[in-house]
Amino acid sequence: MIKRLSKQILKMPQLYLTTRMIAPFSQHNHNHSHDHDHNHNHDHSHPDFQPQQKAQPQFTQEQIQQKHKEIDNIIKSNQVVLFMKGTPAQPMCGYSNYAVQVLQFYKVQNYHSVDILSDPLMREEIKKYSNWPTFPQLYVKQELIGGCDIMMEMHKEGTLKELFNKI
Amino acid sequence: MNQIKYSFCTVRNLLLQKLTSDFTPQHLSIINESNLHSVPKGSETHFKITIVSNEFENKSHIQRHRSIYQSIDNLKNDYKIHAIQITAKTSNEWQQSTEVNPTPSCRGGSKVKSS
Repeated sequence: MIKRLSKQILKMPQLYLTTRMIAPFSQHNHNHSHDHDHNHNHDHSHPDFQPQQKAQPQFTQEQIQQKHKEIDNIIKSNQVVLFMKGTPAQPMCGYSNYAVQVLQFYKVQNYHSVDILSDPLMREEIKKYSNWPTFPQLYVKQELIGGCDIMMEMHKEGTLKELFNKI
Repeated sequence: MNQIKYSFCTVRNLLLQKLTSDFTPQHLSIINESNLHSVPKGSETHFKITIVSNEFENKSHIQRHRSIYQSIDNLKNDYKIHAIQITAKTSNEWQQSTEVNPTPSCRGGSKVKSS
């Protein structure tokens, strides 16, 4: 019993360490598959006690509005749009790569792809525009279809085939 | 060592608690897949969530995913979760097929950037 207890106590710092370590490490991996808003907070306090506010906006309201117009324009003037990490020739993430492969499989040609890694404002604003926190994002006929998981699901159901047949 | 790591998968446990209370799922599995990605060992950044709940009845894929994202939004931000792979089914759909989507292999996005 005593042995077990002391083991438990020994484990405690591990818990403290792991919860503390997650945040500082992951901040350096912004470029990863699906991504989310990060607070650029280098405070060393426990994540639970860190302030929750979003990172300071680096862009003016005008730039943001301009970007929204640009997104609107892209989605309205293209039947199929893929917001992704990297380019179809060189996807930078497994999930984006899958989306590209699916479009290739269904022989969807001339789709418009947007590399969100090369445009930080686009990366932030498209999440708000779509109300969708991850990438890739597939739009067909101005409608958000979803990300990689939904594409897989629809591929299995056969509904993706129907969707692309209508184009 | 492994045992210690697994007994304190804290972010995973928080996700389990939150999703259980929000969706009362018939089936819920959360796998920490961070080791498949280019993040430090022991990270909890990439999760594969399989959830079966009748809350998803008559809801589109988009609606199901949005409700899950909404449910775990705070956890996602607080613990810097990068990626969540979701399979969300109703119990009827789950009875027909328990197949879960495979995880695409990582293209090392973060590695490329840091080099």
